[in-house]
Amino acid sequence: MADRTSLATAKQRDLMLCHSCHKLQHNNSTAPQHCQRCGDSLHFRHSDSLAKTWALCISSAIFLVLANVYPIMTVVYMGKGNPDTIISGVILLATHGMIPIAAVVFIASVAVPLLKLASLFWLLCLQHFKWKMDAKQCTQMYRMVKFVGRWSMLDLFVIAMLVTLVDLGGIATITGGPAATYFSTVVVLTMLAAHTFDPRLIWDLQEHANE
Amino acid sequence: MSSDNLAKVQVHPSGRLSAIWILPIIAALIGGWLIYKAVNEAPIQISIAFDSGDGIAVGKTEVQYEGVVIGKVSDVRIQPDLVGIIATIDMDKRAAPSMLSNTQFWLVKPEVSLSGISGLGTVLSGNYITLRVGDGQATTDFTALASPPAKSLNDPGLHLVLNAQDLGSLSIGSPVVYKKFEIGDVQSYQLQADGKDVTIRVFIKPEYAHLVQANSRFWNASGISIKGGLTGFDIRTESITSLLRGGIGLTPLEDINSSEAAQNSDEFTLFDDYLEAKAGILVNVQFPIAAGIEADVTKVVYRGIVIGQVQDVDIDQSLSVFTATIALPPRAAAFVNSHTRFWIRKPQISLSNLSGVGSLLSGTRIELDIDGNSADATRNFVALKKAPILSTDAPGLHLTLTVDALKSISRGMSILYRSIAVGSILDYRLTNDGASIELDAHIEPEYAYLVNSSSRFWNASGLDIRGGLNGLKIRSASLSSLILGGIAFYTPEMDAPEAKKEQQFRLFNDHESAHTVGIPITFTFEEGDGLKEGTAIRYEGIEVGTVNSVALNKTLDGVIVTATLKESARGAAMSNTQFWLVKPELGLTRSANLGTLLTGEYITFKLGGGKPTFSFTALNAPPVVQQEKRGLNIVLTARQRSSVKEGVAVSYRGVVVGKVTGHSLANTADHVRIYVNIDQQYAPLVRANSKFWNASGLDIGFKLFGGAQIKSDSVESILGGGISFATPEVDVMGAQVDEGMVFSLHSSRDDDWVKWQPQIDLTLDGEDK
Repeated sequence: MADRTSLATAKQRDLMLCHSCHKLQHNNSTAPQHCQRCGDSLHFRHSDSLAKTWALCISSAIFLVLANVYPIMTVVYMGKGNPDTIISGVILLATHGMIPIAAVVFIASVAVPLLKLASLFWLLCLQHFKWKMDAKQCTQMYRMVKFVGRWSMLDLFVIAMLVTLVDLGGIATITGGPAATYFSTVVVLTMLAAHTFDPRLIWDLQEHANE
Repeated sequence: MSSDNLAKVQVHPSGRLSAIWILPIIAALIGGWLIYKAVNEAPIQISIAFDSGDGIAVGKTEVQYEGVVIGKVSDVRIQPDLVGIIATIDMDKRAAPSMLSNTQFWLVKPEVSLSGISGLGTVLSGNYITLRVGDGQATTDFTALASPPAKSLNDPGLHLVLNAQDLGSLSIGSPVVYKKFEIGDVQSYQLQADGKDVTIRVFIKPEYAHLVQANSRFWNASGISIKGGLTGFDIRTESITSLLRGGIGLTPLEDINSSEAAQNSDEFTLFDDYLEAKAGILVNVQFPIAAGIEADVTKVVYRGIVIGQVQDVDIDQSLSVFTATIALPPRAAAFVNSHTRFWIRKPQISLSNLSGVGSLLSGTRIELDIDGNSADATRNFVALKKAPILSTDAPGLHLTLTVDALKSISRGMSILYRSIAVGSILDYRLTNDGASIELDAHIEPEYAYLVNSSSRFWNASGLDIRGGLNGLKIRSASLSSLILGGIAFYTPEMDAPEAKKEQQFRLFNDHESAHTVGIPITFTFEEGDGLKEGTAIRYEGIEVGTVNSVALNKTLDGVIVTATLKESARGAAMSNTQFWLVKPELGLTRSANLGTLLTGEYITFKLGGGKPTFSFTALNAPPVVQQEKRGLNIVLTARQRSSVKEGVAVSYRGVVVGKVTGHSLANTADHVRIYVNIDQQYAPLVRANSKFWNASGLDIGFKLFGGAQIKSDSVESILGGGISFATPEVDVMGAQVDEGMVFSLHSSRDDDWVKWQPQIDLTLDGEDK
């Protein structure tokens, strides 16, 4: 661990990695650099990484609220049915004894987006307020966020499947609600946020702290 | 390290704001707008008090208005005094202006009962609360109605009041149907304060309001109405819906311009059934007997068209007068006055004939006659005992027909001329002495010329079937006369004197008698066996007359038969004509007149000259024919009649050439005279020296050495007997014989006789040798 932190970063060595073709090259001047191989512009770190991540995170936070307030799906079974929000749907499943399904839905639709957003905010706050935190743990957390992001689409996938499959007229019909849009927006935005966040900043922060 | 040589590059945050910040702004805008909308359209809360919370579910039960959800029950709690529940409802803010003190709420539940099914949708979708917007002050506290409210008079459409004797199977929501279209429904009903009638409020949809006129009639169309009797059933139901739910029918518009449209709150009577509603005016007719008159069945007919129906039959307190209440169409109202006459027409059927089949099927009916003249309007009548007679001043020819028996003749029966109806029978009555019946006949003016004093009438009713062994004759004037009966006539002499008014004519029983201009004759028979009315008089197989009556004479030793001879047989009515009765004969040797076994005996006669006479003494048996008209008549004398009798063949060489026409004892009684007729063509065979012998039976002779010898002319002659004759050779045969020549009949033949073979020319012109 100590030997790893003691390692100089590429940035410290004035080396830049092309984000497109991953060619490592020296920083030749203060002027904007271009990759010698593919011609893409070169940066030490993702440009405006923090600002973009902040913006995306704030947006997804707003949409997450909306996604949980508005009904995500309406199941009409034998003429009866009410719009359900994500939480009410989970509660409905749980009260009907379908605890495992309720758990899956809860994790995929509530816990994961919430934790993901919280993690991103945590990382951003680390950068912003220069809090001290073990960089390795932060990186693990970031990796987890990035990995888990796509799985949040599970809920939307289920809704899309149900809406198309269950259309039996008066017997049973499932329609999507406005929250589905908001929720998908949340998922997309958080994925983008995780993408725009440059994890090397975590280590940069550690460097600064060490200095 | 080369890297150490690299200048440290400072990461300068971009001075300008990144475009990515548009995204949170958009998100914030969307969120803000949604929040604004949510706040702006936040439901208003109202509370509705219900008697029962049954069927109301928190978060589920909706408030619907015209099928659109405008609110939802958010909370249900019991009232503090436990008399009911209070439902808190989140109402769409846009419905807030309608939350006024007179707005009515009620719960719609599915109702499935025998009389109706309503709110079926709620079975699947759950109960819901609906409302009718009223007026008043804004409020948020309401009390729900137990059942849907009646429509208020202010609603567009027609609000009517029906008065009914009873509710029938009507219920709230029962449809009002017009030509089976649902045009409205029952809103409410209540018993009137006096407890007599029921007041039913109905609502007619605005688009159908014009169908209800001030003179429209409503009837209770609930259920099935089955009425009937022998003459048929009348099953009536408006629709399956009204069968289940009950319903009110509305009579079709008669003329949209003729009446003013109904107004709100107009009162109408709800009739018990369709017929009652349809029929306009009710009249009471008194009948001496109510036989055949049935309420709701008996039709009222005017000139053959059913215009009404008996509604009710009642009997007065003295139990002697029946009063039928008859419903007549409104159109008739103006014409029913004191000149209107009613009478009963009953179906008639008899074995001999069938008449009035129409009324047989339709049952007894009441007919009426409307006088076009104005008179005092009245609704109470006394029925005539029988159909009124067309007054004798009516244009046309009035005649009187006399007939022995009425048979199938009835009033109104047509009088046919060449199967065209030219008049009718107006009435019939017994003559004063009761011997015959007089018919009043009326011939239409345009056909009056067809009748004159020579006209002959006959009863053309039914089928006239005559026949014998040799064929059937079926005669019917026309199919309608077959069914309805009719009287036909023909006029043999068109230039005969004109028929006078009320001139009497005889009505013949059938076509034949009418066409027979008869000569009345009488016979005296010793016994009447086989004689009866209708026995025919035939001559040479052709009917020339009929026996009219058979009666004993005064001394009881004979039968007097009166008969009619046809005009064509006038020549028979001569003093020397002999009449006798032909009877069937069935015997070993001879059967005759077998036809009479089936057709009955008949009288025939043998013409004779003399003076015309009309009274005869009939023979007991056919007269002995001594002389036939044609051929050669000769007489044989014999000691015994032997088996010779009338009809026995006379043969020459086994060929029949004549026959025995009769026999009689000689006046001196010492021998028998046998009359023989030889056919004309064989007359030359008989010569002065011809020998006649009796060929009857067998002649069996025995000779000791010659064996037995059996002689017979023919098997026929063995059974029936027979006479044979032979004529000697030409030179000795003698001259041709004259009429009445007498020969001796030998009892047996001489063998020589049969060997004679004279050649005699039988052809008059000598063509053959």
